[in-house]
Amino acid sequence: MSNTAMLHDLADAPSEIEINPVSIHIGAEIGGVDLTKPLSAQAVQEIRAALLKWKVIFFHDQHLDHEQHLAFSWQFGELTIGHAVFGNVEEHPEIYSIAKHRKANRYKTGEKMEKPWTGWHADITAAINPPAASILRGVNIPPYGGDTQWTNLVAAYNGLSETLRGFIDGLRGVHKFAPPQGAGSSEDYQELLRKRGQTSEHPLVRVHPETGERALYVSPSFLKSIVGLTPRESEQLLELLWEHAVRQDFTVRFRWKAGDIAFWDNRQTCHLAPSDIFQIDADRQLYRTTLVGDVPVGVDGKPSNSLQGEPILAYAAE
Amino acid sequence: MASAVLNDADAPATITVNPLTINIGAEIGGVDLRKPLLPETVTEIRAALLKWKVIFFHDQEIDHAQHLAFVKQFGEPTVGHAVFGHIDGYPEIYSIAKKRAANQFGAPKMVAPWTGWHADITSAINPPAFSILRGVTLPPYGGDTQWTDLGAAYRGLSETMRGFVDGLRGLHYTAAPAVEPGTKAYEDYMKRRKLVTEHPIVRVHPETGERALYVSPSYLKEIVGMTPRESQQFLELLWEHAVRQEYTVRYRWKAGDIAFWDNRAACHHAPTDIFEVEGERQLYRITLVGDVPVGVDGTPSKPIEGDPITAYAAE
Repeated sequence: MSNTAMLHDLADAPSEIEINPVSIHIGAEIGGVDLTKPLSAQAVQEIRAALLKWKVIFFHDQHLDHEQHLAFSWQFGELTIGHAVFGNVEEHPEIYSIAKHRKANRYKTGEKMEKPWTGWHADITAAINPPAASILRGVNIPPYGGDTQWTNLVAAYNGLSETLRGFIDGLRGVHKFAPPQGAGSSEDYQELLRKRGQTSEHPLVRVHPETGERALYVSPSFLKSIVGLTPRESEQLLELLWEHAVRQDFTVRFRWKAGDIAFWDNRQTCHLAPSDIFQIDADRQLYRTTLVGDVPVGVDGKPSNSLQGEPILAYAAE
Repeated sequence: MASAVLNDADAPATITVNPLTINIGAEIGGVDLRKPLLPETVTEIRAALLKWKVIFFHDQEIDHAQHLAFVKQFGEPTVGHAVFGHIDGYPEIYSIAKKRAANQFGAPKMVAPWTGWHADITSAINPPAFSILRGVTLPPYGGDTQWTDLGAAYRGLSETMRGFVDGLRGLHYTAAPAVEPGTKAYEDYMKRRKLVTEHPIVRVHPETGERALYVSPSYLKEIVGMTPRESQQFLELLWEHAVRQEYTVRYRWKAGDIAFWDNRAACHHAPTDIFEVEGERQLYRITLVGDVPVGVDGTPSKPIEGDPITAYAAE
């Protein structure tokens, strides 16, 4: 698993794709594939293995349209509706538009409280079965600014002391939709949450369903409290865990170009959308598909439980 | 607990006990500390102390010898202070003067809600069981001392958090605040007697069996088995909690007052406001020999450096 092993381990070197890691713990660029065409079974397997190992993988110069984006994604799993709460692009129910001003109508104008972990999240962990993976395609990208970051929650878990790991292995947290701390929510947003909101109790440590790795399953934007602690204990322990989870050494920062694709394992990473883009006029447009996920399971084998809302199913099943 | 006292089923026969807050602190009346106490009175004072964590006596104008005679009825005195010495002629008495050596490292620059709170000499393997502090020269106002009930603080944690801290241990040692390098004088004192001890974070009281959140912010530096940042954040969580207002009592001194606290179940906070005024302030303290703390799992504290604080006569 170490980087050195990766560099020398020709035995399980992929035969159809190239893998270039971009940091010690997380992120690799994948080359040697053309995503406009169907992939060989071997290439799919190698890409999946790289994703599980590197948590987020990047493809360059892949100028896919919506249909090709969907066709690529389907090779890795069933697709959810674009976004379980915030909808989808017209004609393409499985595609969610990541436009610059998509959040403009959600929150009131209050200035949000910025902390080191503010904005970091895994996608829709308010759901009982958050998406397994997300595939984000850059179409219209400013010349500079707008980098996205990911953090490796397995490395974060391993970076905690054995003492603290032992404590949090048995804890669970409540995840739900809410505006950022300090910002109020609009009437429309509240109405949307009344209809389609979700709340789930997940283990704080999630055992990965494919690799068995333990991840520090904290999703700062969604995780609101730790079950069984007083409010102040919960706040302080969460801040300890969040601060830790987004430490620089667990993260990668990606500078987008048009035609880039980022494909991340949403079960073992958090990511941070850029906020610097709001300081400039340039437009920024990306599109996202998400693969249907399973119900998280803790170290004790106990699955998450739903407190509100429906599972996020494959679009076709709806 | 408070209503039990109000109902007075087990009211003491020879003293009066007037609680000052819900959790901690009671004034004791009906005794003259210049004279030997009846065995029954000693028992009742001790019971009040164990229950209320700190007890106060008023209008007891006693001298050094009488102070010493009073406290010997409750245990064996240690040398005045294991690190900072004692007054001339009375090896068991420590001078709490405004400009004492222990204050010479200056006011800490970083003041957190728990800054300055401590139980006495928890850097030792056997911190004193009791401290008896006698006020002699007091300013007309300013200079209040506060105590916090570590038993109530423990019970105020969630069951989940109690379950976790029950198994933790912490490293206590004597050092100047991290933000302010000690003066040479202070460093000299430190060299004279360096004490380092690993205590349980939850201490089981040897007399009552009550569990106390045994954190002593000025001495407790790290939690064993955690990374430095985890330890810092966890300690701040526990310290902030331990000094919450509802667990504390604040005492305004008059000359002739005596405060007598259970150093195994309480932390206290010396005043800092006195340095803003000219008025002198002089108190004297005697501490009684303590035992080695024991955790919830029965494991005693572990000495890392330094000797136990024994009775003065034994030295």
